[in-house]
Amino acid sequence: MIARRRLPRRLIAGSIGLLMICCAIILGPRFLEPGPPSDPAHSALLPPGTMLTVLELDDGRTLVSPLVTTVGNLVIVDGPYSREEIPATSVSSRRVVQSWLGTDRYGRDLLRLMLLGGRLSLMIAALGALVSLVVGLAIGLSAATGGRWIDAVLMRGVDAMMAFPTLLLLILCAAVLDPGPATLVVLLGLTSWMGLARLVRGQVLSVRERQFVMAARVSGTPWYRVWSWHYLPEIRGPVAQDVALRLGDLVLAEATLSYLGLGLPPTTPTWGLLVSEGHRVMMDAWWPATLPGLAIAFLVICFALIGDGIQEL
Amino acid sequence: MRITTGIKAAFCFILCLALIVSSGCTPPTEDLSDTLVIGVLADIQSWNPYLTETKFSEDLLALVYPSLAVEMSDYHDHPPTFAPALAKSWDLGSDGLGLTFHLRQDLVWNDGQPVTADDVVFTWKAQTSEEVGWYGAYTKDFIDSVEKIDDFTVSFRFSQVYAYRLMDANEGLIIPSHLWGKIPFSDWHSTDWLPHVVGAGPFVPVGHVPQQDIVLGANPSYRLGAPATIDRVVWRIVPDQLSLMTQLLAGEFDFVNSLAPEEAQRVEADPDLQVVDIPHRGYTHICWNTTRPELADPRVRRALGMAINRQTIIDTVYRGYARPSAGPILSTMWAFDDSLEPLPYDPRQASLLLNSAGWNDTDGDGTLEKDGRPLTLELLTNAENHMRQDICMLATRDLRAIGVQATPKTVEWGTFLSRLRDGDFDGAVNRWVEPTQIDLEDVWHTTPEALESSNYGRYSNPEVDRLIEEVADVRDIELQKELYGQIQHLIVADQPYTFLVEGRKLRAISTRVQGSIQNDATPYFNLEAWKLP
Amino acid sequence: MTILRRLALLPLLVLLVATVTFAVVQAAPGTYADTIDNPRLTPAARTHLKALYGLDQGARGQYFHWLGALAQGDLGRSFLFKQPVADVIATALLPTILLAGTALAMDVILGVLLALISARRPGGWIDRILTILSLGVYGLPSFWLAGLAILLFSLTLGWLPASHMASVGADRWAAGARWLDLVRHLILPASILGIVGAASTARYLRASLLDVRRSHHILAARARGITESRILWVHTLRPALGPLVTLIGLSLPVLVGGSVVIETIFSWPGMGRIMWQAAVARDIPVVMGCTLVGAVAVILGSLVADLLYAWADPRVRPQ
Repeated sequence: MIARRRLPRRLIAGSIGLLMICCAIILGPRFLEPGPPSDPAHSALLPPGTMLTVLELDDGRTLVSPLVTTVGNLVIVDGPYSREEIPATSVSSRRVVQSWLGTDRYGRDLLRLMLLGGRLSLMIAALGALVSLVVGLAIGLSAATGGRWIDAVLMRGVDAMMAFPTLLLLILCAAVLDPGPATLVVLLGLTSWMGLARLVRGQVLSVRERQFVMAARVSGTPWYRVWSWHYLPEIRGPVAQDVALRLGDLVLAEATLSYLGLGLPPTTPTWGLLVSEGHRVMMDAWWPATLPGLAIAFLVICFALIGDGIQEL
Repeated sequence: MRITTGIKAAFCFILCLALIVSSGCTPPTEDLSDTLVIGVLADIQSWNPYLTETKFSEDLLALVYPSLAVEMSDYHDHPPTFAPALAKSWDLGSDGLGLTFHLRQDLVWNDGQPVTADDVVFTWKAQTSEEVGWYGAYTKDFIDSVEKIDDFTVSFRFSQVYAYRLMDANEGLIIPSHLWGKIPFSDWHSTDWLPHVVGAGPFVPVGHVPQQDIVLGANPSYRLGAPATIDRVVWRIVPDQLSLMTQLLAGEFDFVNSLAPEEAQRVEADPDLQVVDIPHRGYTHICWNTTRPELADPRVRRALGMAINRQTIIDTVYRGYARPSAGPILSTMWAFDDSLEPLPYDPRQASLLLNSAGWNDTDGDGTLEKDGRPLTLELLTNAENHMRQDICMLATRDLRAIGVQATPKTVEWGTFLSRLRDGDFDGAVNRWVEPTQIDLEDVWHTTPEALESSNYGRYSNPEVDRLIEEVADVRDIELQKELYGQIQHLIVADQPYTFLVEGRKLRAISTRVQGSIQNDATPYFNLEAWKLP
Repeated sequence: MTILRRLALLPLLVLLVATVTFAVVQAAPGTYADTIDNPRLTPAARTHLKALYGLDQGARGQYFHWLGALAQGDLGRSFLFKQPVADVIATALLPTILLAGTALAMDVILGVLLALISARRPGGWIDRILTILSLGVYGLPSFWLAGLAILLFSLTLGWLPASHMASVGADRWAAGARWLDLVRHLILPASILGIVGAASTARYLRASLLDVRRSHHILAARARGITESRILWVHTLRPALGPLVTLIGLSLPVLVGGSVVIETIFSWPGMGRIMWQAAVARDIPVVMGCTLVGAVAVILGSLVADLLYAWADPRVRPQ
């Protein structure tokens, strides 16, 4: 009877965390009622848990404010920096919503933004990691198995790629190309595969020299079998580890790029963009920067735990 | 459990770290009673005023080098007047083409040499030298020659008579000819200038750590007024705004020139600091590309302007430190036509205007169309300026509310300017900072190519062109006012820009500083008279 | 490839990198003259400035001009800083090495310690807590951490300075006090870089350690009766250092390139900040100069990494 191996605790913990985030991101917006349009004049930078009153007016405007009082036949709408008085007759509808995580500097609900932005963040990170994985594996494996010359050329190529001033490239590419998600994915992927390539090459090289592997190679075992029986198990751990951490890295890289102004345009919120926007108001309001920041940290922790767990398998 | 080497090593390491941190934590004592500390975002580029391009460099160097006269900040009622500095008096010749300056005889450079007419002549040569390549050389275009009459008399000859002769002649700081004249102009760009700095202003350079600190000390041989009351002034360069604010609130800085409106509240709340707000000669606007078919109709541009709520922008972005902008000339300038009113916020009227221009929501999807094409506009702005980004967001939100498919777009600064020049934009949120010399030609005159002009939107109105050319020859202020008034009304009627707001400049100053005069000429206007307790 | 051959290839690679970088910079819209943010600069003046800096020559002309100067050892003059590029970089090199060196030291020491403690009892309490903590620190964006650190340690507690390398007026102090002052200013930026790096290092090393622990010769060593701590240090750590050492060798570019975000926030005059300012302002000479220095550092770094890897893991030798 083959004993069932217990999955490492880290793997379970990380996977559960990741699953929670994915669920929240995919299902969350569906449960969230369609939110009111933002009203920065009256509802900017409100703390988590504020109850907001949404007023829809006859002329099509929508006001959102935490403090709405009725005095006589006037409705007074109070906001952090402005105050408006409207005749009560022009209010066509009125309802109350809860802002669970507060609002940002434009009056947008932070919970909505984080749920919507999480999707984009994850997607960019995942696709970027995929690009990185594919290129890194290809180059690393080719270098390790292709013979001395190919190894030399490819590794010098890796050196050259790494010697590129990445930041400069990103600045200039952000200037030249359209800073959309696709460009970001490609840029992030193409600037982060080098470490993986070196890692793969190193691991495969160390395996190649082992006695039984050399025996297998010499005895005419087809290359795909050598790869899947000997190389793959050897590199599986480090590669999975690298990818897991890479995913976390890319989410952070996207945050840094947004802080430097090189990320996506401000209308498409990603977690990184939210943190960098919130950073500006950090002295006045802690939640626009901290909550998405904690979300990013949580995501990175999950990815790393998964990576560790795979390593322990 | 045996304590393994690893744990032991860990404890050692943490102990070491704690020792280092604790040793570093005792703040050393430094007597700052004679030092003024100013926080700034960037360094000066060079100690030679004709090799720099940034305003901060100019402002700082004006404390070291003398100038002929000092421009006053009284442009509200008439063109600015000048107070004597190096030049104790001046007079225009009978034909108006000559301007003679009579210099003070008691001014000396830091090395003891007197400041003479030779220095003024040499300065002009440097200003107009191709090898030096001073960007402000265009201000000397109408000056034919600068001659020394005697040691303390200099004469400028102009090629034509116009309103700003004194201003143009005065432009630029006076440099020492007896020292700098020895360095050929072709070598100026490869010289290290700090060792050569010899000035005659209220301060002298004491030290400069690039990208970190600039230290100026009081000049004991300053003759234009009492010697500076503060011994040392240190400029600390902190490129990050949050860090700058943190240090300001922690009491590290006595003065910060650039305060964002959202930070003003916090600074006001601090008992050791106060906020100074002064009129700023800038106005933020949306420049519309009039070559785009959708934007060619002035009614459309007017409607777009009316759909944007300026008050929201003033309240949220500027926190009240701004007023609506009405036209191309600032409301603080003497030439501003008081009868001009900013565009009202009236989305309903805006919709009607758009309808009358042929844009209707025929299929009820919330977007306006004409001939089957929806009204889509992209509002461009640059990423580095957060306030402009916010304005861009608010403006697009307002435009979407009336059925325009507006999208904000942020690009990097270099790209922004590039696209503006190439005409590759629909609308651009930008800001002009106006000089005290009114010159409408660059922005409002018709130009076939915008490569050499700032008329990015390719605005063209022959009547405006004619008036701009006419006012250049007029010297009578009342007549100028009238002509400028006509120009303003024409431009406002055409709405090639949506004039948004005129923001105010906010500065933070410590309460321990006494005697500072704050105006918009330079942040360090009378720095030599500031007093510390 | 022999060390000598790789060193011989160095200039070629560096030149290749530099050329491509030059092409990218040229492709970016706008030149230095366009990026100057002075309202009094008219478009005509900008055109004149362009000619002055040789920016109107066209990409190829500028490239060969730069190459020619480089051959004579001249890196050119910075448009932005109005000084020779060599001076700009030289001034920025020491602060960069100081900051990154300290951060790297903290990174390695703390990372190794964390990994050792974690790997002692994998899955235990300490392991879990350390993992979560270090990952948490790693997962928070560095600029956020920096902002928080400044708000906490500078504004609220007043323990540490918020920026710069020295306090106001420190130039008038004695050498001892100046040193202490430098250390005080180094603590915050180096700690943020170091702790974040240590978290990542600890992850890699821990995995590596566990990997080696499971291998046969460790069981054999245990069977031979070698003490646990000796196993940990001598038999486990050394082979596990392989990937870690690669990591360190690859940190050389960060050492030289600096960390733009940290340097900007803490006003640390390092190369990262210089490079960033130059790129935004399209200051081509400085960009090229920094690229050259960075490329040399990276290629040397990878050479060192390979050598160290071979030393650490006897199974691999440089071919």
